[in-house]
Amino acid sequence: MRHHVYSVACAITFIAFAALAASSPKQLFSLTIAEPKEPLKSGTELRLLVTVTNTSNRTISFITSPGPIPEDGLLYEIKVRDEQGHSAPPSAYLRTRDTHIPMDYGSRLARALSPGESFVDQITVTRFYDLSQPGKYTIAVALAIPPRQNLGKGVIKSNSISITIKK
Amino acid sequence: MAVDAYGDITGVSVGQAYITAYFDNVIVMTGQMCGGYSCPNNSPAPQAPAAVTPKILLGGSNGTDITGTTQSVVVGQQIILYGSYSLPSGVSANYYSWSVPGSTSNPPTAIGNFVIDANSGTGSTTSVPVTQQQPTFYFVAPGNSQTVSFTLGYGNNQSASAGATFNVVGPTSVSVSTPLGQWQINSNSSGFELDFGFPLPPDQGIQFNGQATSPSGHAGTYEWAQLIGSDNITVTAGSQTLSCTAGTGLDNQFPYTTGLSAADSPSLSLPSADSKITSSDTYTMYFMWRPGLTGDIPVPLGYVTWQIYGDAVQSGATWTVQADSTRSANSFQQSASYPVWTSKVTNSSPLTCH
Repeated sequence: MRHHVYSVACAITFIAFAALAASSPKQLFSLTIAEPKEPLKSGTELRLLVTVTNTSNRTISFITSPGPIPEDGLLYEIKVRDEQGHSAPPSAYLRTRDTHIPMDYGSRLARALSPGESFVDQITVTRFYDLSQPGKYTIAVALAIPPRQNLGKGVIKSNSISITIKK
Repeated sequence: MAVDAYGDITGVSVGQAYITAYFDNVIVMTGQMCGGYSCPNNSPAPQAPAAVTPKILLGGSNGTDITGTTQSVVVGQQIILYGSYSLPSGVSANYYSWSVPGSTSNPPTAIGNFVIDANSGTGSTTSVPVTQQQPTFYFVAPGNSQTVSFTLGYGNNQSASAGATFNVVGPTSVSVSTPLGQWQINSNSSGFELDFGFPLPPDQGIQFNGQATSPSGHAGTYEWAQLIGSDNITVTAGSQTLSCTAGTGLDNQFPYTTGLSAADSPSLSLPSADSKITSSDTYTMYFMWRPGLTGDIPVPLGYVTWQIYGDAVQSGATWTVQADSTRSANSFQQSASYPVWTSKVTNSSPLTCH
């Protein structure tokens, strides 16, 4: 599971997304996005912290980038909706990038979480979405169940948060 | 010849006489006799030479006097010294000079600090501030009988010194083994990727299995930091080939990870529009330790340089690893060399191509 940002136009609506998350059975792990405390100024980079917690009774190894708080936006499915429920427009980087050039590369390692343990990832939302238009947005993310551990397939969804972009 | 009671001499015939004169209350000032009526006024007034005895305090100006003693410290421990002294009235200090063993060696085994600026993406060491009255520094390699001296320059080209000795302990029996994995093509939700190994054990591209014995009483924390020395990617679509790079510098963040072991499984996504992709990289992974004390810094224990070349070709929607793909790692080198960088490479930042 890598990158799904460009598929947001045909993805389920955020309301359905949230409903699915709420009705999921006992999850292997949880994702919690910390809500920004203040409105964001248009043009500012939006970085969110996502806490991944092992809610199962077994150790799970997650594939991450190096560092105490890895920048791992490409590992997540990110959904950003405006007040009308429409997907926010893709960033200039996504609109203009050369599809011949690899987008995903770099060092990777596994981070093993024992039951109850957590780690924090960082996601730069504005790398994938153009949030220059002032207004309110709703953001949620999802992470694929880690492979090769007999954990099954699918994604785990986060809570949703609201952010305000001001001029 | 006769001498009367007043000292007057009267010669009455040719001969010789011994004359002894007694002077009471004669004052000698700076080598000049000034008996009689008065002495010249001297400024400054002559006085006995001052006894200046500097001291070395551990912990700053209110610290403990360690002059002439031997102290036990660990590598990475913050050491704040203070050159204390007392000078006679009217005499001023001209300079302070510290001599710290290892501060001028290459690589230095005593440094001023290890400074990481996450915002600017830089990491560097600083020198021991040997001309300050209160230097802060760190020993970064073990060693016994490391004598630090403080010299105070004062007055008219005069100086006085003090010394203190440090026994510096650190991890021992340090080693790192580096088993290597295989190049492979793996699928992901958006297509395929060229991977040197896979991050989950035991399939990692390279494992760094560190071993070390922490000094008694200081379990500390083992850390890893990786620098990317070179990164070259070629992307071929039809007859056109692009040369790309992610750049060089710190591999994402410091530290790379913590614990006695680390691993890396570099990955590169394979756009379906391409027919061939190669990836050539060199890395240096540093094994480090920090004691876990207030104000401490991580210290290097050594490093491993390793290099990979991956070659993938797409034919009929199937990617395959080519036989010219390689990987190798040099043996672990114990060293006090710090990782130093002026830029960093964040996973999946846009590649620079031409």
